Amino acid sequence: MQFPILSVLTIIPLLGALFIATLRGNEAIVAKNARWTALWTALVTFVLSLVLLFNFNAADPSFQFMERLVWFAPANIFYVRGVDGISIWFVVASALLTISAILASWNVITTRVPMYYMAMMILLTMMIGVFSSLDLILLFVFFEGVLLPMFFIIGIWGGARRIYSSYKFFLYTMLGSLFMLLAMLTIYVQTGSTDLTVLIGHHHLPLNIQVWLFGAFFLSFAIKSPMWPVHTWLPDAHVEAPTAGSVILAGILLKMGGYGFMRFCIQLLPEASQLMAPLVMILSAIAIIYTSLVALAQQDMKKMIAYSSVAHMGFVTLGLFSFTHQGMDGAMMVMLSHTIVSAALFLCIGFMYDRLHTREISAYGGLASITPHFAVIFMIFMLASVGLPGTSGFVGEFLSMLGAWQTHPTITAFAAIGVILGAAYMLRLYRACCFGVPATQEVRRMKDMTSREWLIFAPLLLIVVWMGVYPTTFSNIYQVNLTEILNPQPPHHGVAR
Amino acid sequence: MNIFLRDAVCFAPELVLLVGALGALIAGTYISNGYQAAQRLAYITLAGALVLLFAIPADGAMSFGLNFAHTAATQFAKIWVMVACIGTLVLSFHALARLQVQRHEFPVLILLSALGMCLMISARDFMALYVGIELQSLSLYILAAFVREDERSAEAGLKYFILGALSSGLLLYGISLLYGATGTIQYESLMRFISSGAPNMAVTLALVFILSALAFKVSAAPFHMWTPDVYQGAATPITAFFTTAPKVAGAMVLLQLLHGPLAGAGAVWVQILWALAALSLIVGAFAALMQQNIKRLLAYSTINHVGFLLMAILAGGQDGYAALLTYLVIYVIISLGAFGVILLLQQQGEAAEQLTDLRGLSRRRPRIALAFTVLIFALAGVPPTAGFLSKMYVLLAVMRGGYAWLAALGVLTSVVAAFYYLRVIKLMYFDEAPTSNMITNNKPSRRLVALLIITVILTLGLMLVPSAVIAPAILAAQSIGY
Repeated sequence: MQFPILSVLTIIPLLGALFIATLRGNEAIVAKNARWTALWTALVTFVLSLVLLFNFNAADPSFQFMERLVWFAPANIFYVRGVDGISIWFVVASALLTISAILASWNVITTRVPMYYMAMMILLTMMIGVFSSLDLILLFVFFEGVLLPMFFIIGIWGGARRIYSSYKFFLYTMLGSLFMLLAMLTIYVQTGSTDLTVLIGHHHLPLNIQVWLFGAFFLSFAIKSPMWPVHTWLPDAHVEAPTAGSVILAGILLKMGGYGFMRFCIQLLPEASQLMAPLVMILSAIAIIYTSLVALAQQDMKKMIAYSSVAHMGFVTLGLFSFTHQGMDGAMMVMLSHTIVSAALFLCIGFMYDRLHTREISAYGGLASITPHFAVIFMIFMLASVGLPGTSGFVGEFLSMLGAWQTHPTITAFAAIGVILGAAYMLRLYRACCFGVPATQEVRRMKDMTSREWLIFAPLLLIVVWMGVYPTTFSNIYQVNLTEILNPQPPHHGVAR
Repeated sequence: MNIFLRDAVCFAPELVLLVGALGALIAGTYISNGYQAAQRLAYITLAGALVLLFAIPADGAMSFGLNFAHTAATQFAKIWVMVACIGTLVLSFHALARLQVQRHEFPVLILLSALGMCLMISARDFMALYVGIELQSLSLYILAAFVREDERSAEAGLKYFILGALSSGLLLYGISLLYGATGTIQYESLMRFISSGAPNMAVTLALVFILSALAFKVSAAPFHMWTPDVYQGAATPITAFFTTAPKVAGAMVLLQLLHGPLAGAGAVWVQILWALAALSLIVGAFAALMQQNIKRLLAYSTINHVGFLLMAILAGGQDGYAALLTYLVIYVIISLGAFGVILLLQQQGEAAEQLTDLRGLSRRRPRIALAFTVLIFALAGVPPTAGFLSKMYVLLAVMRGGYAWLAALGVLTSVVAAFYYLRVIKLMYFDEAPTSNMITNNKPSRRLVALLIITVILTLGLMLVPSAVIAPAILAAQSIGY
């Protein structure tokens, strides 16, 4: 048996959390040790995820690094782990963004520090678990398990309306995921298996059942990703969450929705997905235009980025459900780019909030001359979010619209309006923050980037430019999977029962 | 002679309970420190019964004619009744001392009601069933009013007694109707009679009465009215007892009745059970939203859980039986843990009566708060806790049984219920403690801490090793149904 790298990846953060739990003594020292433990654990996890990445064979469309243990024999439920080209990036990104999140909370989180980092570590375990589990039940456990640490992170270290937001986050997502559970159980009742490697491509459920299942899965992932009109939890959660919470929420948790669409709707229920594709694309187009307009009217920076996230995830679903190679490629690129860019933008807002303790756009101004380094960084990420060629945002949006255009030109034309609106609200934000005259004397006294903040932004900056200039590095890994999804090969190892 | 001997072997756990109860009564009366002696004797008795339950082969033998059955399922259920009783004894030690009611009758009553539950579970004859139910119920009435000086406790006992007597009357009336229609009250011959023809009016009526009475015993809505009051009024360890053991026995009686002698009348009881399950789910979820008292909250939470139990019974089939048994086991574990937390808090000088007493608990007692968090999430059925495992298994059985709408209702009410479970977490973690909070730091009781650690480990560990509970449940389920 090969080295169980995925299980090790999942367990390391959990061990980190347990270690933090055992820390005793002076409060300040415990806090310091908790921070460093969390940081080192996340770093080790990240390095290990890179090992995973470099050993990954991009030419092979099947799941790799497979682990299979009997979890519960009588019911034919196994502990199955494995990654393919679609999921592997998210494993790496989870570890990377956790490092950013930990660094971003370094001096900001001052109350109940050990507990905070324990929550972060458990969150990392759950995120890696979601993206590398291939058994429906196991995946559900992780998917739902993500809620718990996030609930605490928003509820304890959040802003003024943190309790309302944490409840809304938890209950909204739980509602969706429980319907997903029913769908998973239905699949199990129908096929006798919960193993995705057995299910994908080998079982063709009757179309009428597929449509019901699609409805349940769609509800769950539409809430998670989120899509209009079930997106309302997201702005609340973002506004109240601490910066690190927003980073993880926008960077990884939303991608669970997109990943779920890919894995469950498109791979597992291909016929129903084809059937429902126009509906999904219309919803995506509405989401893109509507939330872009809403973003345009926001006074709170975090809320604005939150709405822009909904719009970006609209491009993901638009590309995915076009059922073209370019569209799906674009959807993946939008997801990967948004992972980095939205996280970076929330970190930028965190930078400003840490200094002035307000997220009102009108409270800033003139940062280009006061904090020039920061203004440059902010500009790059802002342009990446707009989708300027040469940044990561361009590749994905372009490809996803190119794909969607081939099947549904009218819907795509409407969605394209969103690109212009996107430029409008982002430029408005940037102008108000970085140009003009400072709103108050406090703004003039703002300090530029510290070395810790450079450390946070540098890797993200590198990735954004890399992804914009040479996207093949990133898209190479999942190309064979997209080909396989669009032209399913006959199963190469005997049909399961 | 041989027959007597065989009956005695089959009945050995019950005989031990009976002898133990009487012995504890005598010892309690004649020994100066009666409570201590009775309590110790009760532990020994329950442990002995447990050992016998494991030791005696559950081969489906019938004893005393065809009146009592000893199958793998009955053994399984009885084992968990014993565990619930032992748990209650552990929970009660400090609480009874605090309430100054360390009387030797307490262990005696626990043993007697355990005996009643064992009779209920094994009964294969309505007379035997009735005797078992009455023995159990009468013990429970007294237990509810055990803190005699407390008005609330007395009120709880009286309320429970009056409504319980009514339900016993309903049960007797149903049995008499059944006897009138069929000429027998013996399960096996009833089964032959009821499955041979379409159910007639008398059988239908009898079924309605019997089901209503049993719904009262397991506190299924709309026969749940007594539950919150009795839960609140009774002393906390006794509430823990009400939450666990009688639910195991009641659910087993329902399961063995409906999928045994009354299986032929399925067309009638399926609808009734559907409605009972749906109402319990809804009442358990929505009525709990407004509760301010911890024990009332747990009462409604119980009603919600009973909805899931009824769903499993409704689903039937090997999956349904195994799901019910699994649910019962995990439910007993979680409930004992949850009440353990409340009692540990009270033992340490916290009020732990109203929900607001929990404010800021994570600051004052982080470890207890963490344990409570795990158990609350388990009650809510959120992974990675065993509560999720049991809910998922029931939902699976229900989906397989073809009741997709009921499953959807179960899921929806779970989300509503999650709201009030989250409230407990919110009070403990998000809210600050009131400033005037005086903390008296008693040394934490070792037995309560041990109980908590065991239940929390099981709550998390069973998710890793689900076979530990599901495999025996599946084995036991194979002996159910005819």
